[in-house]
Amino acid sequence: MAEHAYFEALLTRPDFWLERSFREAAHMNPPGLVYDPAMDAGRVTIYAFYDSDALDGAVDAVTTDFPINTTNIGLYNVGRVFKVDHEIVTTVQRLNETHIRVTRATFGTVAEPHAAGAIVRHATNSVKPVPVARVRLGTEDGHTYFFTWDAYWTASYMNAGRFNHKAFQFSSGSQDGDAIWFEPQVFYGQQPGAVGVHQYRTYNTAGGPADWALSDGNQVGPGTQSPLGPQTQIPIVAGKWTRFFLHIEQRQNNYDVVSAWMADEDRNPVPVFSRLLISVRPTGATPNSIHSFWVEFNSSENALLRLDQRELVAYVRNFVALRDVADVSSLLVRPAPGAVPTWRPRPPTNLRVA
Amino acid sequence: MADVPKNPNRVEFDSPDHALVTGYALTMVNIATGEVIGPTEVGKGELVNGKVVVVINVQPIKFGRFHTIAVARAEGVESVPSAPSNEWQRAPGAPGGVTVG
Repeated sequence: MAEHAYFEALLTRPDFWLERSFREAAHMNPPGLVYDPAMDAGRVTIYAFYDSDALDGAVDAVTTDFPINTTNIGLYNVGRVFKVDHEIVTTVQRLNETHIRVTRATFGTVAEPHAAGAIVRHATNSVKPVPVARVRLGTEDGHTYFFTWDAYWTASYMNAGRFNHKAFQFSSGSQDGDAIWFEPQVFYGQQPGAVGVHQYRTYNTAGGPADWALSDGNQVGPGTQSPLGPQTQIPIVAGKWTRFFLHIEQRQNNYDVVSAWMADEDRNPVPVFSRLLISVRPTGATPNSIHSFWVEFNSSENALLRLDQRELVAYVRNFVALRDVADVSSLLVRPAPGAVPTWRPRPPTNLRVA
Repeated sequence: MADVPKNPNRVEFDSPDHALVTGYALTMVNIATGEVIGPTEVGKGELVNGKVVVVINVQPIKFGRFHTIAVARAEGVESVPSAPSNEWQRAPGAPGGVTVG
């Protein structure tokens, strides 16, 4: 199919290294990532609430003190919103290790009694599980790598509030070698007419000296800012396949040189940044290696921002890595239009005829 | 065993996309024969205590025991069918105005 021609062509190149199409059952991770045959892509769904806990005792429709599971006390920070049965409540105080105080019947819901063991469902803006997919990479010094993948944000993200996603992730360093390190992000609700804006973040710190050997190994080089700059924020448009490109020259005992571009169905690739100096971490279980690529869609914003409680739906497909590419410019190709997702309402539940 | 409502006049349910929905359609399924009646458009109903409530009229339906299934509709698309409701019964009404002359 034309929409996968670019991907298929990359697989036949002599510098092809590895791929993850997100179009096979084995690549899925429900409920957050499921295959959508209509789109021929992995569907990333963020539900407004997720099953997070259970009430430790029954409550009536009046009390504001809820018994909760001690081991999950961390879920109940002040301001956290959760749903039990049909009622949404908001945490206002941790009374002790076993009880919290809430405001009942928030967001237009009605107070109702809840049984012991009733499912608690916290509001979220992150996919579950998070990250929803990991692609093992294992890069090495002395090689260059070119990564590309496609994603598609549906209009469900429009007017969904101001928050950001660690949308994707390249991991490196730490005990398991798989710590967050270099992060393609999307900031939502920032630009009229667009889903959001795309930019990168590095978890390297600022101020690396000219001689990499004198750095602590987790710093950006001269002329590169942390969290990352200089770079250009590129708007992402709803209902269009967006293509990401990242090139890295992974140099031994030196800073690594990264460049990135972005394109969509209507726009040719434009640079996000060019030849910035960052450091693949030389420490941890897999030193001097980019451990994995993640589909993350993770936000630290847990507020209930979309009051209609709609699902946030995006798609991902066709991750490819090439190694030791001679000429990147010919690889910068915008995606072809593909199928358009059909939204349909979720069915009624709990029907009662009386 | 729960009481089986007789000649019901309303259906209530949860609808997670109610704000985006233009209306609902109900189908009645005869439990004994499998006969399907509908779907019948019932409008968007009314939100009461967080539940959607729609008014129904079962008088034209033949006597029998039924389940109800609902779909949500919006701008040319509709949801998959809901799970069946509780069982209910269409039964003859009690005679009224009986006089002994």
